[in-house]
Parts: sequence; C-alpha cells; structure tokens
Amino acid sequence: MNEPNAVELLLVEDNPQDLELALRALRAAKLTNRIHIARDGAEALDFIFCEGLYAARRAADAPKVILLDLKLPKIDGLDVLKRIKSDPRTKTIPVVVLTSSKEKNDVVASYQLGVNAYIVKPVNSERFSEAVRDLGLFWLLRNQPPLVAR
Amino acid sequence: MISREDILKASILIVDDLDANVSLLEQMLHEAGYVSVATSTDPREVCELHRKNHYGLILLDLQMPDMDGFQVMEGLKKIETDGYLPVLVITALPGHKLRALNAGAKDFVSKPFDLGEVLIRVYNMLEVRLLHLEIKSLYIQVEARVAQRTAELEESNKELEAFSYSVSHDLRTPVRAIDGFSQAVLDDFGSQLPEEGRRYLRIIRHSAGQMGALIDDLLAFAQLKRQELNKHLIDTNELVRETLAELGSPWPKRQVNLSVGALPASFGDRALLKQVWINLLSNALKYTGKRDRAAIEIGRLDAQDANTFFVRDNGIGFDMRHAAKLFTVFQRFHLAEDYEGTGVGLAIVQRIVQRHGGRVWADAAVDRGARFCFTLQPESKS
Repeated sequence: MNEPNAVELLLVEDNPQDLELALRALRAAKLTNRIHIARDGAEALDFIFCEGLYAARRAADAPKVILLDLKLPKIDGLDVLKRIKSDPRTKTIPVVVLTSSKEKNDVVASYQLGVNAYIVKPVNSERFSEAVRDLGLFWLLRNQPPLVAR
Repeated sequence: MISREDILKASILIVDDLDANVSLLEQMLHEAGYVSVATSTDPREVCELHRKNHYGLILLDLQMPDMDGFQVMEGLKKIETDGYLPVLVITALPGHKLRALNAGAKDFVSKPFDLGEVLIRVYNMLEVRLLHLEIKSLYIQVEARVAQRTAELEESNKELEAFSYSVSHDLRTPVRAIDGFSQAVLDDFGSQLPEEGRRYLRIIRHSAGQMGALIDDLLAFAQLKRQELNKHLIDTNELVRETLAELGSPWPKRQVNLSVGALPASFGDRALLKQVWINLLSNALKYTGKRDRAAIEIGRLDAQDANTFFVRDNGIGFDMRHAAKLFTVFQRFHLAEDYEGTGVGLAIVQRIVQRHGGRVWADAAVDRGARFCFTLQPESKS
C-alpha cells in the first residue's frame, strides 16, 4: 500500500500562471492533499526515478497519475514521457499530457510513446478548471491504478 | 537556337579503313567549312579517341577488317552514357542500313557517296546533336532551379510550422491567464467590487475569449494550406444531418424553419468538408438570429460538371457591393456587438473548397437574406 503521505499526483508545469490556475481548480475539487509539483523536465525525471534531490524517495510510491506539460525547460515533455514509458519500473504509471499544443505531431508522438490521455488546455478558464478537476477526479478517485509489485 | 557557325565548329571523326575514302570525305568537309575534322583508319582506336574527344559526329564505315562498324558501335554505346550515339554509318550493303539503325546509328549514307547527300546528312545530324545537348543543359538548369526553389519552400514551410507552433503554445498561455485570473478575482473578491468593476472584469474575460477564438481560427486557416487531403466518397446528407445536430444547441429558444433537400454524394476530405458546412450553417443561424421566424434552406443547384450546394437564409444579408471582400481574412460586415465572430470563417470555407478544386460565391441583399453556393468536383474528375 501507499504510504499515507505518498504523492498521488505529480504535476509537471513550468508556467506559474497555469500552475496556479491548475492548483486552484484542484483545490476547488478538494484534491490538493498529495500533489507534488515539478517545474521542468529534469526535476520531473529526478522525482519519478528517485534521483538527485529525490534520492531519498521510495520508487515504490508511484503517483497515481502524472499531469505533464509538453513544452518544458531543460528536458521537454515528450522526452520525459519517453523515459517513463520505456522503463519497466515506471511504464505503468498513467501519464496525461496537459498542454496548449493542438499540433497533430505532438498528439501523434505522445500516443506513439504510450501516453494514457492527451488534453489540450482550454483557453477559457472555466473549461480549464473543469478539465483539471475532471482529470483529478478520474485518475485519483475513479481509475483503478495498476497493481505494481511493491 | 543552333547557328550555322556552331554546327561548322563541331568536331567530326571519319573512320574508314581505306585512305582514299577518308581523304575524300575529309576534303569535302573542309571545303564545306567544317574546321574540326579528325580521321582514323583503325577501327580499334575509335572508342579511345571518342572517349578523349567527345566527337559531335562519327562517320563510320561498317565493313572494315579487324573490327567491323557494328562492334565499334557496341563499344561507343558504353562511352555515351546519355543515350545519344552520334554515329552516321557508311555502307555499301543495303541490308546493313536497317541493321545499323537498329544498332543505334542515327543515320546512314550509301556507298558510292553522293557528296551532296553526305553533306546534308552530316549537317542535319550535327544540328540534332547540338539541340540534344542544349535541351540537356536546359534540363539540368531547370532541375537545379527546381531543387533550389524546393529547398527554399521547405525552409519557409519549416519557419511557418515553427511560427504556428509557437503561436499555438505561447499565445494561448497568457490569454488563459488573463481569463483565469479575471475569473479568480470575480470568484474571490466579486462581492467586494462595485457592479461596474465586475462588469469590467467580464469585458476582460470576454475579450480574452475572443482572442482565444481568433488564435484558433487563424491557426486552423494557416494549417489548411499544408494539410493533406484525405479524400473519400461522402454521404453529404448524413454529413449535413450530423453538422446540424452539433449546431443544434442554440435552437430550442428559437423558431428555425429548416428545409434540407436531397444532396448528392461529395468526394473529399470529410473533416474539412464538415468544417465548410459548420461555418456556412452557423453563419446562417447567426445572421437570422434576430428574425422571429428564421428560415434556412439547404440544397443543390443543377449544374453540368460539378456538384453545387447552397445554404440560403432569410437573415440580415449584406450589400453586394462588398461581396468581393467576403472571403478575405478579417473582413467583417457587421458590428461585433451585433454579431460576434473572428472574420476568418468564410476565408476557411473558401480555402477548403478551393483545395478541393471547387469555388464558392454568394448573393445577398441587405435585410433580405443571403445564399452561399459552393461546388465540388465529382469523384471522376478529382
């Protein structure tokens, strides 16, 4: 079982405004308890693979879902996705791309790398909040996470 | 074009095992004005000579000891890689003429020589040879130019893609922040603001929404140019039904009299053609919005070589004097406070229809409705 304090949702987002709006939406849905935020691709990978600053974290405490922006500093979202989905230790963690890009190339590449869902961030703030809230509710409460050997 | 001087400058090789024949031909060519004439009585050295000198014409005897003219031609073919063998054969045997032509010779002269005939055949053959070379060099120039243009186009396409990628990502993000934090102020502090303050925030949100729609429409418009068409035969009646169902939400409050005629099948990209119907039908709904009884008619016009569809409405119409600007990006005919829109919808319609090889036009009168027509090529012509 997860530690009571284990992170359930990893939010990878570099833009401070989008981050704040996403957290606002999650807070409104009372889903803020166990969220961890990574501000670039390198930090996200360190967290997921328990390296660098996160060397002390237990890899077995996988988040229930990773919300991943695509355009990120240092290591971009598609590379992060590739690392997660090509490693047997992490490939079962659900990853949802949450991005401003509607580019067909990004959508196709994400699915080819094994993304679990692809959401275009709506420009309208109510719909953005709805999307983040729905994602949180679905992946944290509704979805049955994979049973990983712990 | 090829001038007589160019032809007289061409290099010529005479090959015959008999000195007398060689001298005769050489003298004749000199007298006719040819300045570069070489000779050989040994067929075995012809290939090597041609490799070095690239003759414009080889006058080749067929019957020679050691190596006959047919063998020489086989050897020459291996040197001439561009497929043009500049050989004029000399033969005394009528049976050899066809055989030599089949073997790749371009022409023949008969022994004994008719000198006048030889000169004309030499001249004509050299002219063809030079034209051949000129075409080849033009072709190479054109190829190079096409390659350069293609590279330039690919470069500018890449730039355009980078640009629209950056627009789609970087412009949407601040717009979302403007909208989102205006909403946050309304949510968290709305009760402390006077009504006028709340109204201003609503205006900010509304404008952000328009900005978002504009970014989306412009990107869609820009991408239409490079998007590949995925053409199929489409049931147009079903496509229109589907479109109307999706646009259906604003109707319950309105009285809309809808009439849909039987429509022929369309051949084209389903997603793009659906966008055409969405834009035309949502315009019809929009511009009949202030009618007590809106009437919208969808049908086909009789036309000979293409399917012509129309959408007619009894809305506010427009002045035909402005019709030429109708399909231009950002052209708006009505005040934004009366009818919202980005001014991109009809430009998208036109671009999609044109990419399908069709055309689009409209007729209308102020306050008397509008009719938009477009054609699509039938499958057989696409």
